[in-house]
Amino acid sequence: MSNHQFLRNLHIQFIEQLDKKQDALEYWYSEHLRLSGVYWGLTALQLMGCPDLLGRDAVIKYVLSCQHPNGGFGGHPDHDPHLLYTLSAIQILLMYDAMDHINTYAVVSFIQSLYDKDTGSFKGDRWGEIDTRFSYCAVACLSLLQALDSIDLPRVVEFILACRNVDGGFGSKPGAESHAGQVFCCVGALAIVRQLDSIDRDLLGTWLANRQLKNGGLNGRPQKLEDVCYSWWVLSSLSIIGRQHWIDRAKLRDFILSSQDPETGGIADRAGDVPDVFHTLFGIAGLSLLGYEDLEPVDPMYCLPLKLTEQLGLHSEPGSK
Amino acid sequence: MSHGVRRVKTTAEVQLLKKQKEAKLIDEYRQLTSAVFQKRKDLCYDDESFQLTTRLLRNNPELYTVWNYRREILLSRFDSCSEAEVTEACQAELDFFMEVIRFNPKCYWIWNHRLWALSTTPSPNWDMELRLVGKMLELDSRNFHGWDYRRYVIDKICSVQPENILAINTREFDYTTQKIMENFSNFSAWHNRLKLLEMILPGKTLEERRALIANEFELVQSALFTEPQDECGWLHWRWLIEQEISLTEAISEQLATVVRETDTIAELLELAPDGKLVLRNIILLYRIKHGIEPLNAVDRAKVGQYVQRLAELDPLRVGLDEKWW
Ligand SMILES: [Zn+2]
Repeated sequence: MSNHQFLRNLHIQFIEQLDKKQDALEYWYSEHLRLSGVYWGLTALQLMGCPDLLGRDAVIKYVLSCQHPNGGFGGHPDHDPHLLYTLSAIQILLMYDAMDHINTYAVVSFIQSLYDKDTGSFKGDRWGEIDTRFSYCAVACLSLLQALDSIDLPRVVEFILACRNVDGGFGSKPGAESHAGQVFCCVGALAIVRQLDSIDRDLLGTWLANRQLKNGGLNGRPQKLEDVCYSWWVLSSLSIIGRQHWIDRAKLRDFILSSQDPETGGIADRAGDVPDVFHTLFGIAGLSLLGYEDLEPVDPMYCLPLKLTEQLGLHSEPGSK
Repeated sequence: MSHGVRRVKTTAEVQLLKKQKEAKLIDEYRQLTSAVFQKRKDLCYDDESFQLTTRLLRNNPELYTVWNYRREILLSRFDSCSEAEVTEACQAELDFFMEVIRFNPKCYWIWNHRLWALSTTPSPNWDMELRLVGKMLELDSRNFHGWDYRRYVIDKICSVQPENILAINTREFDYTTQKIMENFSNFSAWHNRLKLLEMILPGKTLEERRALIANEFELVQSALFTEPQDECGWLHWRWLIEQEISLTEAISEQLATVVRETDTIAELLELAPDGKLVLRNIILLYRIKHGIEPLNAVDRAKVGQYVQRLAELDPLRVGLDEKWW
């Protein structure tokens, strides 16, 4: 049995107060990804059953102020458009049921402009970095915008599968080593486009299950330390392929709960470290996916409240093949 | 997103002092940031703007927009520059990379900037890049940015010397041997070795392939006997078995491979009777054997014992083990 309790109220306070921490250097150093920060905070709150604490109108106004004429979103006003932040923007607007505030065609054409038809990959922005993280962002965005028909899906899938390794995992690009974050992106994207049948679930599941360490936490690659965020990437991937029971769920719960900050609230990468909103979301999403703490269910493919993706008709149950 | 930053308990006094210090830093940082973003809004591409980006990126290399601005400034100049001047400016960017990467080896934007400088400079020196990434991997032999970059550089070298591809890949293969001998647990090196083998093997004769695979078994065996609890070696070993089996259609030869490995791993199991991965992989061998020819009663009994022992040893993955047999 766990001797830790889930500190719901403290976590809610922790997220509410994020925007008041302007006397901390970290607040300013992380400005370039504030839009994602809002997504992490809002999703965590929604999973804890407090959907409206951030102030809907102010948040929508902020999101809109991050959009560029080309349709893409930057991480903060005046910061350049990038797929990473475009996904965060769409996720926030959907959680607030506020898609009518933006021109979705512009967003779709921004995403299309980053598609590389020679390889089926996506660039993160006009400077050309290629990574399966961006394949995920593009596919997730387009799916959330009900616009998957605007790209050549078979080519996109071909690229993702070219990033698969003999251990069953996926890397950032063809030839790159398997990494749990990348596995989530590739498996998530394949699940969204209903192409999971092209992967060997037992092989991948074995690699993923081996990520669990003695203390219950999961690491991102062999021989690395456990981390709450990797726990989410691994757990969500296992769920998507219907292999969640291949790890010890109660021990993972203990690990996540032990990573809470009992004084300020918030969850850190592991016990004793400084908490942040990123690990707070992925810790809470992990607990939700495990079915603990009476949280709102989360959709492992999108890391959004399940209620929302069901409403949008996007949720799909894992097959067990 | 912070990783590995420990919480420290401090007194109110220390806290106050820290806050005061921080307030000053914040002030400077905000002034610098707003100066840079204002310059960019004003489409200012002069030296002063460029130097401001240097200062700011030293301070916070995660500011991807500022890297973009820095490149915009450089590009705005290159139209009227000689080749030598462009080369020099790009070299300066490569030097700036070295300065900032040291403190932020995992920052994607810094790596992107290096790739940009190399794709912009008229004649990139890929051999020098290879030496450089070799040095970086000495500092952190698991940095996946470093390994990705190494593969990128090798790709470039291969594309300018297509006649030497085999030699280049062989040299890279030897590099992974060296890295693995330094540390059997270097998953990144094992991974790259396997990728290289996938490229090297198809060009070999059957006899050469057999020899190469035998050689690999020898290496992986020393890894397994040294670190039986390490996934890296096991993944490689499993792949080798598949490769060796695929070399022949004769069932007797395929079985010979499995039996030989079963004997070896049984020996290892005696040395490491609590080795979870040893158990899991010896069970795997029986599964492979079963795929070639149905197991007899003696084998079945053995597998049953292994599965039971594994469930006792590794309760974490008990769901996984049910699936195994
Ligand atoms: Zn983390």
